[in-house]
Amino acid sequence: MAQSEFVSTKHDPKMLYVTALILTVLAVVGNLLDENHPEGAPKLIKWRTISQARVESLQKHKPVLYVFSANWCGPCKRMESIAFGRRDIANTINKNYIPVLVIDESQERGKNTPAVQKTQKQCNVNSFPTLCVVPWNLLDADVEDVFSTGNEIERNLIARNLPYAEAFESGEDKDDVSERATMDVLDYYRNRVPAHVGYSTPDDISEYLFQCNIWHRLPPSKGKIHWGPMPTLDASGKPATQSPVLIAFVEDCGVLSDKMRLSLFENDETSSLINRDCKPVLVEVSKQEPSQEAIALKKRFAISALPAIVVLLPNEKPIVQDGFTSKKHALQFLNRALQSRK
Amino acid sequence: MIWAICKNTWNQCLASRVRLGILCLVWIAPILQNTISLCVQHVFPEALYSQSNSVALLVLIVGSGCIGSQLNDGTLSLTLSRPLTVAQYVMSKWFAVFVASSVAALSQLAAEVLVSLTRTPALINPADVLTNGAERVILCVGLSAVLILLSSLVSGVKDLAFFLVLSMVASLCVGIGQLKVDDVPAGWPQLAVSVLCPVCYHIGQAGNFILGPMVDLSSLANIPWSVVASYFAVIATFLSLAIFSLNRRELPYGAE
Amino acid sequence: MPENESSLTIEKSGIRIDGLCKTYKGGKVKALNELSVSIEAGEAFGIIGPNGAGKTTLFGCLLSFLRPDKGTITIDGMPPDALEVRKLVGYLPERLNFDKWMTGREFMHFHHELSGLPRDVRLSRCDELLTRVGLDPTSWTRPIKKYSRGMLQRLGFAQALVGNPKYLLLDEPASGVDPAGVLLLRRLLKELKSSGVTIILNSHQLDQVEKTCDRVAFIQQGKVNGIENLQAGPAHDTRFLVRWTGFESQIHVDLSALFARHGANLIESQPEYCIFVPSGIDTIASILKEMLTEGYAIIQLTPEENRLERYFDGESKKSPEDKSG
Repeated sequence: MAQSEFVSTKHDPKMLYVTALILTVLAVVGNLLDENHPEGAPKLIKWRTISQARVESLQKHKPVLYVFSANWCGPCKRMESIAFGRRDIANTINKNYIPVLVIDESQERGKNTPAVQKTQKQCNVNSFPTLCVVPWNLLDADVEDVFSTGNEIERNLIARNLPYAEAFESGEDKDDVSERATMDVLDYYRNRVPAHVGYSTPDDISEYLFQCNIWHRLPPSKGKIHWGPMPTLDASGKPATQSPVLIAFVEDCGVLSDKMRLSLFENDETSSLINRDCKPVLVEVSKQEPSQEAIALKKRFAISALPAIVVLLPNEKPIVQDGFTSKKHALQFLNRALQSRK
Repeated sequence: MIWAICKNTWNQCLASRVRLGILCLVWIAPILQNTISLCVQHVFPEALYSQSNSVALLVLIVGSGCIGSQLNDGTLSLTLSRPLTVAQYVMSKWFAVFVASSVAALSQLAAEVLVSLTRTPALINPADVLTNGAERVILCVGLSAVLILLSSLVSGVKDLAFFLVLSMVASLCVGIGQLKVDDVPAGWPQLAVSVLCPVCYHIGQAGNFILGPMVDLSSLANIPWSVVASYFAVIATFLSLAIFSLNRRELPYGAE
Repeated sequence: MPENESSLTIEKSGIRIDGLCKTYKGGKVKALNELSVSIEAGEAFGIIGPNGAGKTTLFGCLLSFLRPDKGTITIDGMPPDALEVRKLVGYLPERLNFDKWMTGREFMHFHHELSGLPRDVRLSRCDELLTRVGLDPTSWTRPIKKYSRGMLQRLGFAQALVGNPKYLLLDEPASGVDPAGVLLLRRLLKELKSSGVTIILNSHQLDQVEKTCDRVAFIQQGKVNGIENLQAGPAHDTRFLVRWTGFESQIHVDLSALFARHGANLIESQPEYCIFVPSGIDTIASILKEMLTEGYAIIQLTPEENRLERYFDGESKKSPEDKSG
């Protein structure tokens, strides 16, 4: 009995053990709850079946978004409730794609239906969740075909979406056009959009969909910005006006330029910001034959990579951002450049 | 918390030239990579700051063998002959490891931010930097606890090997769990698959989390409480297990 | 109740080991087999025994590195793994595994800090201890990996003394130490003993043990097979050797009868010496007197061997009838 009075060097810290036990139980319970997400999760996306989607896609010429999932897959459940529960993501999907939720039942039932098997094979699905966008004209092809060099389907796809489409169809020297198309195909290659595997945050899904918009994009747009003429600049490059001038340099074709168009020009928030706070000027640089004016401007502002944004402030040095990494960075740059004036 | 043990751990880490050399290499590699892409290749990396893998490496290099090497060369007995409890010893080691690795990780982040500042100053968002820094510290604290347990179970730097083996096993489990099975015969094979695969999957996912305990801070408003609970559960459980096992361990004494 | 209190205090101090059992390899190897011994506070206690006797296991249990299967140990009335006990015990391990990258001074400071002792006296106290053990000051700032065995031994001893321990457990303290070091050690132990420190010494060097300790326990096969009280004079069954010059042929004395008359046992008889075991110390003088009277020119009388060596000598177990004649 006397021994219990002495603190042993080997005494077990019971408080710590109990805390660990409680936390472990909480963690297990929490994770189990997460996986079997409550029925109240908003069902914002209008899912179709595989056959329904096929019919609709061929009719509307809209690409199909396959979401491959499984009942035992925790991240899939999280994605469905968190990412697809976000309004902006749900709206993008509903607007631009025909969404299909393909659930793998091979573990519970031993095998999948033939339709599911075929779709999984087409999109080369190995783990869950996987998102894959398939254009309407490739619904029966192996998506891998799209990424193989020199494939006729791919050229057609690219050609349709590029300014070369007209040249291609009007019968211009096909080899010449094809060669230029191929250069841009290679350009696209470096930035091609594979299927998206796994899930960590909703922003990843948002980013993936953004990339897909490029791949299946509409012709290059100038967006919602009210572009104006280039104002006169004094010798040091400062504008005569009081409000900041935003000069956007974009290429006529090129993935990064496309991204910038989508993220800045067509985005409601940024386009209204630009329209409100500055005088925007658009400089479209032809990739094949850039104009002298464009070259001079590039040199003046020391621009080495396109697309680029230059913000000219009345009493300060020009703020230049050349090259484009992501929508997020472009937005940050813009906010800081315009705020620095205040 | 015993300050002497912390200082001893830091000095021991600094005294090993091999460890220090590898640490410097791992520390500088992502910075060099970023610098080269930004300044030489003029390619802007998507992520301006290196991700959790490099931080995990830093923790492993700083902390591997912190208890194990003392078990190995018999200095643990002498240390524990002093008036301190095993619990104090373990907690001090944990503190020492996570402080040292946090310092390495945060200084690496600072260097990367400096490089980015020279080239793309407009793209540095203080909120991003703070978030990345906080995530690094969170990973250091969590992974240190895991390493302390592994180090208290095996001697020398075998805990590193242990860690790698466990990572591979976790990945394997996830792989099994995600097996695409086609046409499994009905009856017991199908039953086995329907039970085994989810179990393996969950074990693998749990394993992956344990071997890199992290809380993603990118959307602060949406952090699931289960992740936070899991994170603290990992730390508390692993430290408890380390203390428990060392308490019951018979320390090597003599040859008889 | 002053009497009860003082007896309680007496009972509480010192080391009591009772019925200690420890097995390895799932019970196959019995390292300690119902070992019981009592060590009084302030005494110098030696432990000797053949290899594999269980001495190291005993030390391991005393320091609570090993868990005994049965039995109890109390140090000052407390179990060996108590925090308080750690403050009272200093130990010098047999295997001198120290952190090789530290310098001698850093090592001492580390242990001083670990013992929870104040920082302001750290430098002076550690330097004082290092000087006391005779470690060359130029080596204090050298890394331990460059130390010789003797230097490591001294450093280990200094480390054991860091907390001013009440109990000092020394495992082979003189191993690898040069003769000057051995003398220094002996002197140090004497000083420590006179200041009331209880010393438990495990050593194979029997003369060391004999010169330093008050009592010695002989451990064999996990049990205490004998405790020698060195403070009392030579044991009653110590063997003596007596040597003479001259030829026995000139002297016709029945030596065995002579010895038997004084109650002594003649073990061995040779032309120029014989070995006997007296019944008591006081009888030696009368034996010598009679031998001298009979004409023996005695030139030497010494105890035949180190009294502790007996424990290791199987001969001592054989009866005199087997040996003589």
